[in-house]
Amino acid sequence: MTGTELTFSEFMAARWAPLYRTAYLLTGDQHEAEELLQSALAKTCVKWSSIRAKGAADAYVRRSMVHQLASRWRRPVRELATDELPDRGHSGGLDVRADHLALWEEIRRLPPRMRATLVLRYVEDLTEEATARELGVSIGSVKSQTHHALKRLRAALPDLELTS
Amino acid sequence: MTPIDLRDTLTSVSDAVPVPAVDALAVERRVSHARQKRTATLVVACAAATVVLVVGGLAVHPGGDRSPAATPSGPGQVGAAIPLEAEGTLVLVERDGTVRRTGVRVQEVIGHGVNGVVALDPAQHLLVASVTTDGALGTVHDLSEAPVRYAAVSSDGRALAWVDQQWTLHLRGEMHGDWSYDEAVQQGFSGQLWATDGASWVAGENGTAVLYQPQAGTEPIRLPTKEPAIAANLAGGTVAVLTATTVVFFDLDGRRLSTPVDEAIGALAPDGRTYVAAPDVRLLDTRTGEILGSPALPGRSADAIMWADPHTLVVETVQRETSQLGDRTLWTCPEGRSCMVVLSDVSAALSG
Repeated sequence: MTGTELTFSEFMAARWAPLYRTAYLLTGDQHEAEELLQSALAKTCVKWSSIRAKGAADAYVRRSMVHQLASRWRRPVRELATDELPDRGHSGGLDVRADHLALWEEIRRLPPRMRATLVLRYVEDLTEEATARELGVSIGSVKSQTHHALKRLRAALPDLELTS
Repeated sequence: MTPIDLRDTLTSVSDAVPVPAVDALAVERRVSHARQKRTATLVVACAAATVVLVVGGLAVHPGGDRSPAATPSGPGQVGAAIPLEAEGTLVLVERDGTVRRTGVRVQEVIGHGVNGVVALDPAQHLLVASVTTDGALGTVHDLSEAPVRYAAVSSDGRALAWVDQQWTLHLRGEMHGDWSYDEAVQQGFSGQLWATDGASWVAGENGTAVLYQPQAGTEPIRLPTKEPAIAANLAGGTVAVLTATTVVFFDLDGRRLSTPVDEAIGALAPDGRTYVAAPDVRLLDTRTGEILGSPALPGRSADAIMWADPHTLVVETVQRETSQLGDRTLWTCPEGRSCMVVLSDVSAALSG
């Protein structure tokens, strides 16, 4: 390792916040997000010396998080969406607009794979092909998950009109 | 509702969520666990290897299924089974690429010794799965009969140790085809159990490796490293202490044997004289830190690495240009030199 090369500690310190935000969107739960990110960072640390392009380490952590979630949602019981969300107090503890909060609460109710598809497509700005690769599914599955996610959200919030 | 609405909502939520401070200690603990898990995954002890070698000459075993992606190394070169955890079950991969799915649910493979494969089941019980002379799964029994905190198998496969929920360390030696002989029982264990050689053990205590040798009647020896220690190997009178970026070698008197070597991931050979370091699979002399050699694996990085027996490495690689998940290949490298493919596209071969 050269003296100018980014160390894992430096990487973790610099990228913790944005990666935590991604983890939160993927899990919909603050505690789970922290656990998921810690676990993904640990795996990244172990493989740090083999990650040649340190600039791509963000993508490595994100992929690790998605893979961990994927291994959970392969178990059918975890795939089920729930109407009972963890009680996180008024406004879910988030200082966001009411319409955004309403939509986020519905997004949180989506099955994890569906939610992950939305996060990768619309927050991480991945193409359908890249999203499919990250999730380990076909492009058709990404299209289908996106379609059904939008359908469910529209059905849940028929009157929602987001203000600009 | 449009994709733009979704993007705006997710972005505003992402921006609004309070971000906790980094819990470096928690990450460090997970690093230690992940490192132990990765190195343990490929463990095959020499004594058990001999058992399977007897029947390893069969090209295809009855009941086994060959992965279409695997490149067999040939009947004359097959050897010990490599125990792996795949999708929550124990899989035995023979050196000719034959994959045996045992159906035994495991959370983590700890190692492989004279009495079979040692693994943790989903309830954290210590299982011993014996392998029959035709290479198939034999009996499976619950050795700990209760959840354990940590477990380790000696590199010669003749001893294993675990720490139970009451923080008692159990060090067992081989007897009558079972690990039934109590070498030591120590209550009030603290820290993490990292390694044992059957007589001694290394524990991680607050970022420092500590060597315990009760049979020698010596006080515990702290093995200092510049960075926090996160794992250790113990074999052949050598302790290899791993930090996030280096490995440091000590003898059993606590004397440092060489200067710290970069790139810590790797494995100590059963004789304690050689350490093989990833990602370039460099063989190092533990006494001097000098590079002894490196088998050619062009374009690939070692992701996990173990000694199958005193003369054979087992290496799992990824493509160097991606260094990411996928494109995994399992190799054996006799004498640490030329490597042969056991399984290509490991994930696909072991899935389903």
